[in-house]
Amino acid sequence: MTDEFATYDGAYVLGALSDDERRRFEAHLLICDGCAESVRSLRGLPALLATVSPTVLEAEPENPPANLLPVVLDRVRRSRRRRRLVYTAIAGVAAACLVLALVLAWPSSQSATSPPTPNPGREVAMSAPAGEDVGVAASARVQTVRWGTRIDLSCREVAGGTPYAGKAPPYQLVIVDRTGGKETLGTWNLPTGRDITFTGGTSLPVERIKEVKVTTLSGEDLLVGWP
Amino acid sequence: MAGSETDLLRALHEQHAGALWSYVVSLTGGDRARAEDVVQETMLRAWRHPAVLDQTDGSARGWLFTVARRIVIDDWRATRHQRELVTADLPENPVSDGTDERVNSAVVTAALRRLSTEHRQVLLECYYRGSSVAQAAARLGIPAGTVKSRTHYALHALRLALDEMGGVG
Repeated sequence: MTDEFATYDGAYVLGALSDDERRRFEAHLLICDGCAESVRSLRGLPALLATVSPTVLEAEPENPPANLLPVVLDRVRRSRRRRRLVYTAIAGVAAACLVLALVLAWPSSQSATSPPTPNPGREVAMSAPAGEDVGVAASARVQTVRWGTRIDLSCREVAGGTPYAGKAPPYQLVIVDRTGGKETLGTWNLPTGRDITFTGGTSLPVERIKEVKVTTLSGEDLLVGWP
Repeated sequence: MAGSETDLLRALHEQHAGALWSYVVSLTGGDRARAEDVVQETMLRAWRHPAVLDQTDGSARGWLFTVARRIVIDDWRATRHQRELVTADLPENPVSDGTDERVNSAVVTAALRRLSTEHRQVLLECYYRGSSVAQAAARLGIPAGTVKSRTHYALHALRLALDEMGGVG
């Protein structure tokens, strides 16, 4: 069945129907849910149209500059090259550090007491308790500072994983000490497609922290790491 | 891998650059040089977030608009901040800095530019010129029924375009 009023909604909200048509359409709206819903969905538009000048409609839409894509692709290429250089440099530095660490570790492993770990802290890998897909991944940097322990957590959605795997943000950062006591260091949201770094701290020294955890607000464990 | 990323950027450009361009030109008040920087930066950020590139449907558009808007607004605030530093006292709560109005108007502008010429024509007649359906039909040389169906499709297309761009605030 075709509704002769099905296309009246636009002219109606713009106030362009004749008095007679407007009256007939309004009578129809009382008995037709489809048309009434359609009018409701368009009702806010005239006020929005009022925010722009009619010249927007008079002029033909302008295309983006022709060189936009080539410039972007060129910047991507340059950025990729730069990134490769940085990776190469990082790999070089990492190799040098490893050598240095081995050299330093050799005598100190023989001495009875090792000096307290100074900055810059260490990376703690975080993984899901049962290796399941929880939709997020994170790593933590745990650092001894004068007032206790600082934790910088990088968190992101897992590309290709189930988004949030039904365990939606906000998340919270929780630490568990050696006696089993828990401390929540704060909560954060994880916007789609973005990485975040969340920083939290505790007065506990790093040796007394048993676990670093990412949990849902209801306290369900998502990721756990052992510093 | 690198090749497919380039293809995805091309697809993103193909599908969204026109709408993004209208939006950003409007946000920058017609400053095309600035708009070019903003659109480039937005696409680069999309490239750094592969999850966005993968969304070949309309959902990437909302993301692109949000990022572009943030770049432009940060810019406005930075300039305004510099200006305010020179003036002596600041109002406690600036009531409205006009940001929302500018953003809304830019969204509507971009959405209108996505409509076909026929659809833009009937909106110009029936809304901006205040014509009735009969008057618009006479001016455009088309039947009254066509004016009605075009306003119907034009406004629904506008609604859809606004939603795709992440809506108005």
